[in-house]
Amino acid sequence: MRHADAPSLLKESRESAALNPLANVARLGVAGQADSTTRAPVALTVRDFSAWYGSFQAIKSVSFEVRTKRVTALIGPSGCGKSTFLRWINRMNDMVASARAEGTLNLHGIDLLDQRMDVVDLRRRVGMVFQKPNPFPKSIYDNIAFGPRLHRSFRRAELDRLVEQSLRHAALWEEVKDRLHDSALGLSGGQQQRLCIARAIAVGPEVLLMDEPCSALDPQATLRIEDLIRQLRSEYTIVIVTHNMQQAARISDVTAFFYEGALIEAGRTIDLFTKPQKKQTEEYVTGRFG
Amino acid sequence: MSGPDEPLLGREKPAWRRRLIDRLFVIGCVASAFVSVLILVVLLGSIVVRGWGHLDWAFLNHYPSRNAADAGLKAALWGTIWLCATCMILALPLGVGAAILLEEYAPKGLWARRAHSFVELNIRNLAGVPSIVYGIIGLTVFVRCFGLLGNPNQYDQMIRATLANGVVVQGMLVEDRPESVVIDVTGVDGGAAQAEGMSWPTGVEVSLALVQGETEKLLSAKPGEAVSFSIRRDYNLPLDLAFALAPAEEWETPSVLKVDGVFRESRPGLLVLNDPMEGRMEVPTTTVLVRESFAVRTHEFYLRSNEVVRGDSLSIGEKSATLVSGGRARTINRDDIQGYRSIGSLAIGQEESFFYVRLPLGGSVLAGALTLMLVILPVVIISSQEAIRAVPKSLREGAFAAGATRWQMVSRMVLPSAMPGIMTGAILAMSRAIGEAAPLLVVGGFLFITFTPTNVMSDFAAMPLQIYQWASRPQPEFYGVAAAGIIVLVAVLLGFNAAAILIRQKFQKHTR
Repeated sequence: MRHADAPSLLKESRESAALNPLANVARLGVAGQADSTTRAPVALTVRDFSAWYGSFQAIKSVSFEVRTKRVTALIGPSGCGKSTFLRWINRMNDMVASARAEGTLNLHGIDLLDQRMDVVDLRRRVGMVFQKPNPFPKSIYDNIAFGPRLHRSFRRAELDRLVEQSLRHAALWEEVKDRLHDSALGLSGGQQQRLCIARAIAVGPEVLLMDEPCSALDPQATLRIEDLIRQLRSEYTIVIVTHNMQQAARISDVTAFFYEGALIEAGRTIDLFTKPQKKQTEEYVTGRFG
Repeated sequence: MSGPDEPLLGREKPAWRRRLIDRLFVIGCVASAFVSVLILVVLLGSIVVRGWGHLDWAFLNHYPSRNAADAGLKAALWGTIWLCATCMILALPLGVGAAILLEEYAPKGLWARRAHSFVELNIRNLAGVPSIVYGIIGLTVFVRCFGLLGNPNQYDQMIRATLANGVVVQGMLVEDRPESVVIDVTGVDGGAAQAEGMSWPTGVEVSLALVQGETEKLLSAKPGEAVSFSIRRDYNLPLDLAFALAPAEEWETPSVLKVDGVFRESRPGLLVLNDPMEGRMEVPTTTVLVRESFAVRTHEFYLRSNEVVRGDSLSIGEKSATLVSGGRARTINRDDIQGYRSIGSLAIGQEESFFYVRLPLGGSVLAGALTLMLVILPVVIISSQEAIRAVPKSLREGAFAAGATRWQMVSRMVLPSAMPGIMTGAILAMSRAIGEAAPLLVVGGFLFITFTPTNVMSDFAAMPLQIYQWASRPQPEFYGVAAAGIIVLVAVLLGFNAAAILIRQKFQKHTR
């Protein structure tokens, strides 16, 4: 059910790309080099997407595609628009009064810029993990159960199972199974972030957005989150914003490099880091600026 | 760019002077802190010294009296409890709701944004409005309802008189003459009907002879004259005037007697009364038009042996009645009783139901509570706003990201997290409400009543008013009584503050 409509969309986006070859500049992968990365169906189609905060243009006509069940990393210096882009995918920017956007942002056939779109349903399908772990001031159990309870009513046993599954998925179950009803605020930073991932998973999303999920964590906790992302890759489409280029190289299949609101280059991570097409990309990934 | 070898720019400040200023500042701080503590200690100390002697259980359990030794705080204490409870029930949902609207539903459009900030500014200004102004608003809006719904004083001027022949006359007080009162029974609910047993023509003026203020004379009134009366709120009459029932045998219409008796219990549709002469009486509430109550101070029994027995507490059995006086109980056989009377404080006719409401509200608990609500609403809104604002943005984002609607986010995330702050603010606001006297005085709080409220339409007294009334009396004994009242008021206030702290800690336990 989840991706049933994806192939038709893939076809449609190819057709539109054929009609407008210029829109294809940042098309993932190199033509004829169809590997497992580029063969996956398209989850998110971005065409000439621009976003503003008031009169400040944060994103300038970006076009690319995010593939299903792949990890897409968005890299770039601070203020380059990558977080703004991420927050448009689940419409978190609705909370900012001055935010507006133009262009096409299409997730599995849903027009994300449509004002009439049901954002509540969208956020159910697109989970988000924030930069700073934000466990709710409730018990570990209630943190996980928060999302599911918003949408459905459960019998106790069903909810118990869902909580356990989600915590197991987030590789946290063994550490917390004996203190499910203790406050989530008593967990360490890394555990809190995995709890947030478990909380996002519990709603049953298709896409997971991660906004610098490791920037507030120590190296060891970071490694555990990265392991977790690799495990989740087979089930979820993951878009991750990161400042850490090594991290992008370690965990992502595809990397998109943003600079001053524009998408400079997007492609297979291995290509982007080893043979970047643009000079700016090369300078950034080799650490000459940023 | 000054290198290590170059001389420093500027002139050196003497170190002793800087140290001296530092020292003086600390001394100044300590002094001002001690002055405030000293004032508080002197204030509380003098009040405690004056009032401690008056402070006992009887003080809390007695109605006010013209006699300083008997004066108590019961009516005012319960009046305040009723007022504040009603006020909180009204103010909390309204205030928290307004705070949620202002904080969580900030509009996007230009004009909506302007309206939003205008409302916010207004609420901040309202917090500074003197409470007497709210009293005037309360008087116009709640007590009088802009005069659109009739005269609230119609209830004040209601008079009810029991004639010696047992007929009860109830109607509007038209005129209060030295020797008689004039009652108009037209247009009064049950006015004419109350005079059952007699075909009383409506619209007729009934003149009743009565001697104002002279209880004993009233009781010795000859048959044909009024032997008892009760009146609602007439400032010309001393309100603690003794209220008396005539000896039962003088009544000719026994059916009227059924409304007089010692209240025993109230069952669905039935009011059970005890009467020393008649025994147990069951009155269907449908036949009760007005239920009057009065606080009995003394019962007097006239025995067939011409002996008169007095006592203060009374229990009535099937065959005998027991009277307690000065710690000694005396049981009297019913057959020996020739007549009895109960002397009590005048009480005002209370309507039956707990849910009784009428418009205009008049000087009722509800009108007082609504007025106090106006006084504290800005404080409740502002403190709730602060509490809601203190909830981290990350929690809101987390809830939204999980697919919460705005209401789910508010009810499951913001309100639980903000609850300690909201409760603290609400209880501090309530502390303010407890101490308010001015608006209640305007709205019509009583300085002297001898009953406790039974529903939100009851008349009420309040502790600050009672204290003010005592303190303004010429007799020096009342200063002590006023001081004792202040001690109780301060104790209740401190109790509320303690509750605020406890509630805050209880809620925070879950969040830490």
